[in-house]
Amino acid sequence: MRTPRKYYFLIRKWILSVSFLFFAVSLSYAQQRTVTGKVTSEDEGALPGVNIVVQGTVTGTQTDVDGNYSITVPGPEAVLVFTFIGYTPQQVNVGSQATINIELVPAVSTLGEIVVTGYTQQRKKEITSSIANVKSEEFNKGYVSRPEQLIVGKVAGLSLSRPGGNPNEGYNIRLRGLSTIGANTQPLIVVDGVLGASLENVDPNDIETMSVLKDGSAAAIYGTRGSSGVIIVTTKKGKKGTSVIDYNGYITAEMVAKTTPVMTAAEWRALSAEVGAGTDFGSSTDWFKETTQTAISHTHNLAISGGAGNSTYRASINYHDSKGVILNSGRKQLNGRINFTQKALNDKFTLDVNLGATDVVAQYGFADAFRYASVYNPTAPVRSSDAAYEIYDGYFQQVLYDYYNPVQILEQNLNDGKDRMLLLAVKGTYQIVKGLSVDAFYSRQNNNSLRGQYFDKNSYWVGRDRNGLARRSFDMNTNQLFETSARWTGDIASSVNLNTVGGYSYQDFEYEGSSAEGGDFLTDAFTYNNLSAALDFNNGIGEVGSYKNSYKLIAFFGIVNLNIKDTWFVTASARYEGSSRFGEDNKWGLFPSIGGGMDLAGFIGSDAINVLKLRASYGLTGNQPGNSYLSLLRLGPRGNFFYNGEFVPGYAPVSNANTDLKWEKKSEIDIGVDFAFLNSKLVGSFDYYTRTTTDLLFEYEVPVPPNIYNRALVNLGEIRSSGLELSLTWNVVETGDLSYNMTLTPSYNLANELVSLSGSYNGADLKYGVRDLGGMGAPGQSDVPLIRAEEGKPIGQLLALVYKEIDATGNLIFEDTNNDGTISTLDRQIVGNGLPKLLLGFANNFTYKNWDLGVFFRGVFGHDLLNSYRGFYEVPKMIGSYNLPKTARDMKNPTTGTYLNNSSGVLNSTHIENADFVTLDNMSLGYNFNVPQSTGFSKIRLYLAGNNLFYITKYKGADPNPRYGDIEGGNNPLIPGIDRRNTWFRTRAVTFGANIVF
Amino acid sequence: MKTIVRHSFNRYLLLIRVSLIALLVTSLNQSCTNLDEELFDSVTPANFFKTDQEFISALGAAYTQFADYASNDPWALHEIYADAIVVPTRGQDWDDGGVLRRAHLHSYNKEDGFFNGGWNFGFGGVNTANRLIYQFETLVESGQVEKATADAFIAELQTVRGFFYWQLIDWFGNVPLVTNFATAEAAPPTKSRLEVFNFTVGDLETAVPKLSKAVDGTTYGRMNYYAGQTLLAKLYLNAQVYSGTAQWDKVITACDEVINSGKYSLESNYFANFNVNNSGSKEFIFAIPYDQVFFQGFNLAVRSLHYGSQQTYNLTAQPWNGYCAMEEFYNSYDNADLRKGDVGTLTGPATKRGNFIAGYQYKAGGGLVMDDGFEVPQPARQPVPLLGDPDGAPLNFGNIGSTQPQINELGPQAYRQAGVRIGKWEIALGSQPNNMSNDYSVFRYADVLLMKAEALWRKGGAANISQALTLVNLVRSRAGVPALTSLDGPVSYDMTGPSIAGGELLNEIGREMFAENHRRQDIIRWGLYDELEKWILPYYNPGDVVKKGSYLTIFPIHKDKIAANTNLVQNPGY
Repeated sequence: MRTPRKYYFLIRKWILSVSFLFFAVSLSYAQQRTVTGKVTSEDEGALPGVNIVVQGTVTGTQTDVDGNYSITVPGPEAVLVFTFIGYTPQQVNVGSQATINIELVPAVSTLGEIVVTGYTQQRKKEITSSIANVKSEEFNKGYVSRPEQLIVGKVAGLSLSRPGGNPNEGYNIRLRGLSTIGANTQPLIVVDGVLGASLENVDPNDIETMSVLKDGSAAAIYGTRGSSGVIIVTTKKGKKGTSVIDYNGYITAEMVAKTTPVMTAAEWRALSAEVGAGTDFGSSTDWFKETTQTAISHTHNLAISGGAGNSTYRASINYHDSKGVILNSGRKQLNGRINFTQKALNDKFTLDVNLGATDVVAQYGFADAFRYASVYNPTAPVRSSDAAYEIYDGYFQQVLYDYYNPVQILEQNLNDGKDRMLLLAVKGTYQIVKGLSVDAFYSRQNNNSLRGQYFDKNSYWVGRDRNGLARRSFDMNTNQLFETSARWTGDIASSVNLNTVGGYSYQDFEYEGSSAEGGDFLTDAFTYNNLSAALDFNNGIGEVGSYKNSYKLIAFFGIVNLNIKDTWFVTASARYEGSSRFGEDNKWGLFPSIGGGMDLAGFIGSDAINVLKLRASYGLTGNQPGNSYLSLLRLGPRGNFFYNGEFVPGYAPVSNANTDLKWEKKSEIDIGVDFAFLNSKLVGSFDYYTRTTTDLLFEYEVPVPPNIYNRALVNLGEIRSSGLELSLTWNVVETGDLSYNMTLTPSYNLANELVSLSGSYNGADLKYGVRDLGGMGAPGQSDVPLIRAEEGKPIGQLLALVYKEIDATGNLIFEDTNNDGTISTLDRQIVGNGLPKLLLGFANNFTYKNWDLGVFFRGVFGHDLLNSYRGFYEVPKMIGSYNLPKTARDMKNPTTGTYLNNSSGVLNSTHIENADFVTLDNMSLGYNFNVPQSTGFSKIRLYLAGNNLFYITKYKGADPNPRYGDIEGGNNPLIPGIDRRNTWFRTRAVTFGANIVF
Repeated sequence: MKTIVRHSFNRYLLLIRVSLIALLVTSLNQSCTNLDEELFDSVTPANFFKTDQEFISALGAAYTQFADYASNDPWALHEIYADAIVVPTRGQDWDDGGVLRRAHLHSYNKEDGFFNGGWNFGFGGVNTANRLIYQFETLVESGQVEKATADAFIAELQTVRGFFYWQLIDWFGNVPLVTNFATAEAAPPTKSRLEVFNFTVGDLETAVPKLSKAVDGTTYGRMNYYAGQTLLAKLYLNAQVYSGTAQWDKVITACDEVINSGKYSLESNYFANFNVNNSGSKEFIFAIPYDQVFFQGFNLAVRSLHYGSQQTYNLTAQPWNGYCAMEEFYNSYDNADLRKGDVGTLTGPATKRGNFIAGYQYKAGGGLVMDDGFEVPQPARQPVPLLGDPDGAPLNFGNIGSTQPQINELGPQAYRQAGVRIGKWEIALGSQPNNMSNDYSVFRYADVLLMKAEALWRKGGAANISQALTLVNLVRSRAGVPALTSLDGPVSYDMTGPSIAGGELLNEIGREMFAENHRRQDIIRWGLYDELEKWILPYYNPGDVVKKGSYLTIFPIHKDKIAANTNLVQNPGY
């Protein structure tokens, strides 16, 4: 990681100012003369067109194409002001200098910065839609193993949630709440122009910026894949000049921060005695301690970059060796990336080549161990020498329902995977004339993954009943993208700049793989490596499978950006796109956008207001079905048929035809204001958005006949959401030694409504009405839905019987809300909502001399979580079989002291808890050494960082982060807010690292 | 953005470069806008139905629908709402939102999942049959299949459809009537039970005579002529309930078609019908050929057995400790009854196989199975005594021999070990309890004998009753129990209660046809469905609500079904 450029320049600026002040005083009597010099920037080299004026006069000039200038100044007291769009203005006291060379710094927090948008880039000021750009210096610090972690909490309206600390798990990414329920809810990832790229194949250290296209107008250029937002990742490139070697290494200790609060052995014994149930096995086992570890991880990143002649390059190699907090879990990742740029034909032709490769070796562990560590009897030993346990290899086991020694799960069984990701991208750009260029882009991505699981012959959990069980699967997906475009930029009238892009895009995707599962081994020695040794295959009960499917997306697109007098801005775009996944009659869709902005700062003419840009935009984006072939009538093997004394396969329909299947359409209006006040001390933007998704892709149960299969993917219904977002940065202090700035990014969901899921398909009226979804599950609560999805109501309504009391004899009494004299499913009420209302990020950055400190708080408010541990086990009576949450002790009648006597169907309104929280998400303290140039080092920084240092929450479970989909229900977005028992525990990490540049 | 452009370029070179790019673009042009889907792992009608084998595989779809019949939702709808089978809520297990207790207490509502499952089973079958009939008709029209071949298939499919309509009439009474795939309405409206019944009977009466009379491998697992007659007998037998008009004579005629064919007979060993290798039983008129690999879905063992029973049979999965027989029902068997089986004791496992698995359980390799979750009784505990398992850790189904009831309550505090389990179908050592390989007889010869007996008895008259007794005693004699002299007597759930007409006949049907998708239908036909308090009273808790009323003999239509089809009318009372 590089030192934040800002601090470096702040220090330089301070030194310069002091020295010039000295000159100004001593040479104040000099005469009118000429000053010359060159203006450059670190990124671009020579800067042409930079405005230079003598402060307080009309005397001014511009730099030429090579960045040189010459200006006449009245005397040594003159002050030169260098301004250039996209860069921080600089003032220089002339003094006695005849040559003043200036390096301008790209503006960090003004609206001049260049932002990568879809297929093009714009100055922030010109942008008419809602786009958040996060640069490397603003990224989250500390233990970061995935790109998503860099921007957690940084972008108003962007929520990244990964409950628990599983290093092998990705984030659930949500932009501005829900815009779809039946299609893809995750934003489109674009890495260096590759649409749908894999974030796992990008190392966080190689990322220069991440740009989040939040509204429909910004995302419309990605048409069918823009509905859930777009995140554009731009990796670091080489720069001309001498080679720079950048090393960043850190070591992290990650530990369990919060486990499910269950009873210790002593607490268990006390309650057991009171309740008069449960077997004390005589040990005192902390199952959490037995199943988890302090995970020591180390990470090394080495990058070399530079450029000479017509070439620039950056090559990096990244290695992560991360352990998971659960025993026998971890991830080793080796990643390499080469970005190479070659210019030819008098700099008219540019060739960009990107190569990225990642190799992952993962041990996933088993999340089930968390569940059983929470419910296993704390008086049971981990192992026993008793002969009865020899059949389990000496692990203590009890034959009960859903009850397994968690240490055994982790130690006896294997859950491994290897992933290989490869990305190749080539882009050729040719400049035909000034302002007009054409380009062609080709990329190919290949992701392979190989999985293996083996369950030991003596593993009581899984394995023993199959006499050893092995699973193996291989999946491969490939996609290739070809795009070509033409770009023109120029002035169409005085002060009217036009920037246009038109292009064609073709992408195809192929998914294939195979899997096999077989048990009954003579020996455990093979694990999953020799499936033919599984007798199941000889006995005809081994399972094998393979699949292959594909789809294509083809599009034509165009963008027009208009800048009138650098005050009025108009952006319009359209994408005409087709997908093979749609019905014959509806293969193509058009996705337009329009946006306008106006900077009022010039009209107001106040020095305090640097920018005040109002903007409004509208955009239409799409979403396609998650699977191919859903518009076709397909037949597939469905069981067998006993025909003439033998089984023959029976073939039956597996999907209905839907020739009308089409895009899900999301239209979005965004109204916003971007501002910079008080000499850009206070910079920010505020947005209101409202979005409506129609033609929702949703799988319905359809009448048979007229349909031949009882489910169909249909375009019906509507959901609507709206919200407010603020992003505010305040540079509180900025002196030579000390700087402090803070950034606040709150976003508030005004509504997330399921307007309708009804309509007509194949002549039948489909009415969704009120559906109860999700299921509590076994033991004993299988037919207990948890969520009510209801037309005209908010999404995510959590449902439960309303707790009334525990009566004198220990019976759990619920409210008879429908007053029919009996408690049944009909008495359930809506008692919470799983989706958060308010997301908050609060970043604080301090520098003092060589020290830097970053403190980042994150909060999520307004969501509830259904605490399923409590919903299952908060029953003192159950102590006979399980360990219980500490709260089980409170389950008694307050007067008689009688403990809850029921032991089934206890889920009720008290288990749905407010899960508001604030966390110190990350904090880092760094020290930059003063390194003399003679040492060959240009920078040495050491730092200490912490992640998830504390949480403030009333939530009683292990992790209060929102659950955007149900992990036991296919991640269905209509079922948020369920904290399931298999979630990883929350972790905390401390990192010590070094960044060395030479 | 700030690229500096130099103005020296060669127009000729430019032209070449532009053309090269144009060439590149056009060479991709063929696939440039083509969005046809390319299939690899699935087939569409466009590339299917080309060979005879493919036609047969399509016919198979009509039968794969039966996979759920033997132990899933359809079975539950036939069995757990009556007096023979119970699923107690054992601590935290088997509460499931109260759906099972509501089944036992008849307080079910339109949200209970079984009703959705039953509807899907019935209409899935009806629609598949309709679709295949239509398909064969089109194939005849297009000359791909000969009419004679198609007619045989179509008659068979009509019979299959008749079976599914029978199920729907039985459970839901008033359902839509969809008979033609091509002209089906988008949202077919509810028709009366009578209308659906009349259609089904009429349709079967036309189709069944066209079915094959072969009783061999060519018709095993399929609807032949005799299966069709048995199905008709079922409809006639329940005609009073379904249509308001009894049709006892027609029951006798249909049963006689089977009996007089001489192609079926009682197996000398009752359990020959329920062994793992039971295919080809002389009693099977229509069987579902379950197989752990080829025809999956029979999972009664996993539903019924205790967790620890895994050690008795070395099962490949842990059972769920659910379904068991009600105590009074179990006790309605004579101890000498070969169908009952005996009881495992502390000195050794049961030696005689029976419909039930009772008493102490042993591991496959010997030694008692221990229940790790048993609780020590604490009668002194206040205010609620902990009953615990009175006989300790050894797994003992039903506390045989003790004074404790086999099933202490419906729940939630039912003993973990409560209740004798369903052992009618042999559980093979080392087998998959969730995919049993025993074939399952939908129609069995003994049932035909009992149906005829019932029709004769219903008709009344000394000669008929005497003939009925002969038939019943034929079945009883195989079970090793003495002949009956009267078909009247107290009903199994109330053996000390009053004698009722045909009570002993009902008991005999219950004993013979236990767990064979029978009991609810029988209890309703006897008019005893509302007497549930008599069989459920010993078990229920003070808070439990029992519902009564004749409307309950027809189940509610699940709310999701009404949401999907606004032309459906909910059954009265719900």
